[in-house]
Amino acid sequence: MASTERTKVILGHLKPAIGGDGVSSTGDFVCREFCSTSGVGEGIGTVKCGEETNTKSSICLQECAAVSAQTDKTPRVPKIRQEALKWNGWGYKDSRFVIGDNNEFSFSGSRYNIAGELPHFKAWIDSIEGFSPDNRSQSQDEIRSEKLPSVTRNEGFLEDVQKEGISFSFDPQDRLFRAHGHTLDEMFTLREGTFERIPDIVLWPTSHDVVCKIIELACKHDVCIIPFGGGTSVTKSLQCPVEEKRMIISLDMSQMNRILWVDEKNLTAHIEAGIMGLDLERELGNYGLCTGHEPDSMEFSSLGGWVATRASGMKKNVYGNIEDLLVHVKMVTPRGVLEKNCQVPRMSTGPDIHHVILGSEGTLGVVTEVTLRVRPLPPVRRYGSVVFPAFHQGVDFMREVAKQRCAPASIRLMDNEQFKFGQALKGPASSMWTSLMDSLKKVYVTKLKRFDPNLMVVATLLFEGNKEDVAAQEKKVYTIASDFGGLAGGEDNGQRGYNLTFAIAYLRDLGLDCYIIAESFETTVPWDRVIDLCRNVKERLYSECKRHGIQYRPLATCRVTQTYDSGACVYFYFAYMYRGLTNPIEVYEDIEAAARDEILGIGGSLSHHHGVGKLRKQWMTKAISAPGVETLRAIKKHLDPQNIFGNNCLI
Amino acid sequence: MAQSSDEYLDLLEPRRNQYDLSFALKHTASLLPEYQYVTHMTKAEIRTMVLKSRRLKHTVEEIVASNGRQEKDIYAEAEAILDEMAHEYSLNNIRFLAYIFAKTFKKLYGHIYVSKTGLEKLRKSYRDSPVVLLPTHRSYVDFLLISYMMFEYNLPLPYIAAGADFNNMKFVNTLLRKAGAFYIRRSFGADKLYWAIFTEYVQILVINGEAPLEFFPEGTRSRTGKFLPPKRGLLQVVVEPFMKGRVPDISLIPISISYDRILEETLHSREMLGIPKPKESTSGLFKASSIFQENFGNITVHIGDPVSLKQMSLISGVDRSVHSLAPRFIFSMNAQEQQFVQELCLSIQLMQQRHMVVSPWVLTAALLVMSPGYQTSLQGMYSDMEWLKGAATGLGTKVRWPVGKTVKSVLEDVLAVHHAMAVVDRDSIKLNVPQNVATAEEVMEVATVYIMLGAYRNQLLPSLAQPALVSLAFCGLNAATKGELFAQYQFLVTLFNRELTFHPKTTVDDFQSTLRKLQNSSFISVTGLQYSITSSGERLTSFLCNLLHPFLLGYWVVCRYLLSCPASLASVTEQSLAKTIQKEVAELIATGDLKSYDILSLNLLGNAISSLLQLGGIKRSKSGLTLIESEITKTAEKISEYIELPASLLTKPFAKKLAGPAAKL
Repeated sequence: MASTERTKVILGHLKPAIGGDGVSSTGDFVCREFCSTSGVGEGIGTVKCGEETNTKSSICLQECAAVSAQTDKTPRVPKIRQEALKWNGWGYKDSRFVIGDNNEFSFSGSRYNIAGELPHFKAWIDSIEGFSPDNRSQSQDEIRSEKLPSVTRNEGFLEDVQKEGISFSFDPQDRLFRAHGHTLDEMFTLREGTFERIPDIVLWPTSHDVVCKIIELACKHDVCIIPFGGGTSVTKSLQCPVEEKRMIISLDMSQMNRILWVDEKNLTAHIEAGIMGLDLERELGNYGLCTGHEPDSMEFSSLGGWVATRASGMKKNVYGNIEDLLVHVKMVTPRGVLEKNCQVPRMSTGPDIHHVILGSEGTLGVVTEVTLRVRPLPPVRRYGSVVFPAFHQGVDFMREVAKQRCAPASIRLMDNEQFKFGQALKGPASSMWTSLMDSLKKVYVTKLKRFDPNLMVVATLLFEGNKEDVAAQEKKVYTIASDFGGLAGGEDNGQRGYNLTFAIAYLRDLGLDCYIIAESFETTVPWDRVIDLCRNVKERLYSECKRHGIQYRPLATCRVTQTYDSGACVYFYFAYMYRGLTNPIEVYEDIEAAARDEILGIGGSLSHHHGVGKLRKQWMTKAISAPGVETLRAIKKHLDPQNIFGNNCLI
Repeated sequence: MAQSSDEYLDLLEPRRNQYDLSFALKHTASLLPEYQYVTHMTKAEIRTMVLKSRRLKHTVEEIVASNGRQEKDIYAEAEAILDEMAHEYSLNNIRFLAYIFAKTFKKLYGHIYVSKTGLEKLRKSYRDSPVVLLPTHRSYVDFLLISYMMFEYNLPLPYIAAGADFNNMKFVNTLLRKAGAFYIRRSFGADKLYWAIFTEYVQILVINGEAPLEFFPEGTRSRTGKFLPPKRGLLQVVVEPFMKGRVPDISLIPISISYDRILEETLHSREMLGIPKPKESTSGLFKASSIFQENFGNITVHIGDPVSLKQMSLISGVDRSVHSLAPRFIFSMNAQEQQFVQELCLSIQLMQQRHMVVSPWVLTAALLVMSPGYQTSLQGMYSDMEWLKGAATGLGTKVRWPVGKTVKSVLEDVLAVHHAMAVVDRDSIKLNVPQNVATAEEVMEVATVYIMLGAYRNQLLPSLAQPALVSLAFCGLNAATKGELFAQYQFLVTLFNRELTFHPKTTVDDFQSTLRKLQNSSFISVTGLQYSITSSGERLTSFLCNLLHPFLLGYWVVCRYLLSCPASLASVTEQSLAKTIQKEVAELIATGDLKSYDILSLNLLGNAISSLLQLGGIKRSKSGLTLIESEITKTAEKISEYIELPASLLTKPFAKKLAGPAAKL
């Protein structure tokens, strides 16, 4: 498959079937009951059973503005990030939810398939208590350079850096852009305040050797380095410690974005760590390969960041999480380069040194080059969905799928709130006919099958593989679904579920414009506690909001996003109207901490893939025991005795 | 306490104005408030769930491994246990009972007051989390009354944890079972199978949240008017699913039920004297039907504010994540959690105590007990009652004093209700007992009425115990420093640990706030470091000291008796020891050396013995009891600091003939 084809497939997540002539995919909410005795074989789960669904080919690269004018080798995110990305919110400047003059909603730009009018959106957002499009809380237009902290200079270091000819910038906006990730607190600061401490300089290394040189100079002159990949952190890990007196270097890895070699025989690729997820898949596509690693942030997050935070991709069921993909990694530490001597699938040489690097969160060194396991591009990918009358049935279904180890590339269960949100992202019906079909389907599910629209949930599915395997897998999964009371919900509902992932990140900016605070957090939990955890955490959020005097009932919603043999990953979204609170961020953080205590209380983990950063350090001893933390400290002390990598994360 | 109509509803009022039959036919499920995550299950589904539960499987595996019994047999036993235990709702049955009890309650009681806001809060709490009702237990009427009340107010009828002894009452047991009662054996300590089934069954009921669970934290009816030390067993079973995240929260509802006159008052006194209680039987129930001729006054039911288990656990800082490392079907509560449940029980009991209501008769009873020879002039009683009403109310006692009525007419009313206990003889009021008793046997015969009187007096203890302890802490002196007072107070708290309710974490606060309360009411004044009783406080403090006098005297008598015994009491149990001492006390009353009939109560004597066990005066071993003379002497001397002891007892040493009680037992 050509690389352009591959990119289209990936972009398919983001933007399938935009106005493809005649190929309308708005006929959603397809529901068919599956009977396990007959008719299972043909056309399961989809309306039309095309392989590598043809509709996808109607996506044109030209419509993806950021990509259109570029050659395959150009990264989607420029070196000067603020040229293409929002400085105070999520994602691309041209993409945002827009409230029209008559309070109608749309999504701007043309990058995403939800772009355009969103006729169902208003009804949904009105259901959030206290929301009013008329009450606006606008962000400041910019943080003027004079309001930003001045540069702490280490002249010796600067002199040496210049001698080496390393690209750098003192520009306040460049520095500001690298002073934060995307936690609520950081967005709030950008919109309404300023940071006490930001990096003093941005350096753009271009190769492993340059990084080695920079670390050497850093040790020599005692400066602090904070590695920067895609800037999508949600753990406050990029924030500069206020008490740091040394010069702080933001080591922006974005210019190290080359695939250095591809080995088709061994199915490995050696890649520089600064490459962004989407660029990586596009370029591997040239070889007919992919990593299959698709975290929700893949448009903007980097390979090195994935390694440093133990990232997880939504298709891990087929491709594995980052730790499974990792064949070899180089991390430059103040003590030298930490790496293995060969590129083999497994070795028994004491504790796996890769696991010192994975999840080290920039505290020990910086990841420069990575060898990943890659896979041939799958010939067929197909979305699907199943609706269940209630959440617990959906969870039982997920558990059974995990037990039988027949999980498709991605399988996610959205609760009722998210199911409704997914429906709110539907575009305008393309014709009377689809609109009529929609209503009929709705009548079928809610009246004939007696699904309660306020209880029903949807599991979204993504199958990948060759034609036969996908067909067999679909058959198995849909049979299990019907055993648990599920009705197939069609391909579009499935796809909409995945669109939602990308849209929801943009939604927060709309919320903040209207006094609504929104944030997400995640965990892993054993199967027997999944339902209890989801329910209790929501209840805890409600009761904590009440305790803090928040007058409007919050929106608390979750989805089960990953399945494992012995447990699942659960992802929560939480939003509330904060008008009337004098300290909304403190209140929010208090509530999130309470929710985390609740999670830990029921037997959930501190994090599945977001990491610890500075946000969750307080629980680390509880999470990995005191000797565990001491071990990590000892490693840190050995590898980085001067605390050059001083982002103050993890421990 | 004045009953304003907006605070309390009269449960019986609508029944006096409508047909009982139409009442019995109301109450439909659709009107009941419902838990947001409710799971509806039939009796058969619950049964299957228990029998198929992982917990039971685990226990059966353990039993098979330990004694090699056949799995099949164990499951058969499990089914039998479950059938003996399980409830079974039947709406028709409930309607029948509602009809019967509407008639019965109207016959027996004048008014049944129910707190209105409590009822409203209860109704609201059903939505958020499963509800557990925790009433006080003074009478068999308690659980009938609560279910009846829920029926009247369209609230779900509770599952009631009932003692398996009820199961012996043919016909009645089925009636109750069909109204939601389930039966638990009184003791099943080491029976793993029973424990597992019971735990699983109760937890399913709680987690499903279809209806509230109801049980009595005191474990059994208190026969003494005081509160029994709470039992934490059942509450622990209820709390466990919360600790393991199976429910988001549980609402605990303390309920205080106050009776003007307790239906089983005579039986209770006789039991306290050691006259065995009749076994529960249906024929016994019919024999008791003479009670329909009697007037039992009013009942006040106060429904307390819901206590959120989640909030309580957050405040106490219990770490629930300890359960992350084991599957949830294995019952486990660590020491921290057990301590939490223990304190929770005490907190709930203190909440119940705060809302107990006493009838004016309780004031009469307290004053009569303190009067020499248990009698006093009517005029004296009028003025004392008037004074006590004010003083006790000031200290937090909730006295239900009919609005606008004079003390004279109030006394007439209460005597009408309690005519069996006290009578007016010309211008004096005295107990309804023969005046001349010469032998220990005669003493025991008349003692029932005295014990009954004491039980009504005891109703003042929940509200007055704290100021009484502070009053005693003055040790009969007029002034003391705060430090001295606290040291004495602390000893009394330890001494009366089983007699009264104390929260282990609030001893200092309780002391301080009581002292402050007495100070604010000018019963105590402070000059420099000295706290002294004011002239206006003298009458009150002496009343309060007298309130606890019989207990202190009783404890002292126990000490004195033990000091006359050999150090080793082989094959003597605490119960048998109490009975032996009781005989001695009866002798002393017969000879006139002891005036206080209260000390005949096995409850008081048993508590004194327990207290000495705790203080180290008695050691328990398998073979019997060992007495530590020095500790007992110390305790006796300490007690003598608080009260004046009868001179005759001090001089007259306990006869050596009593030295060998073991031989007699």
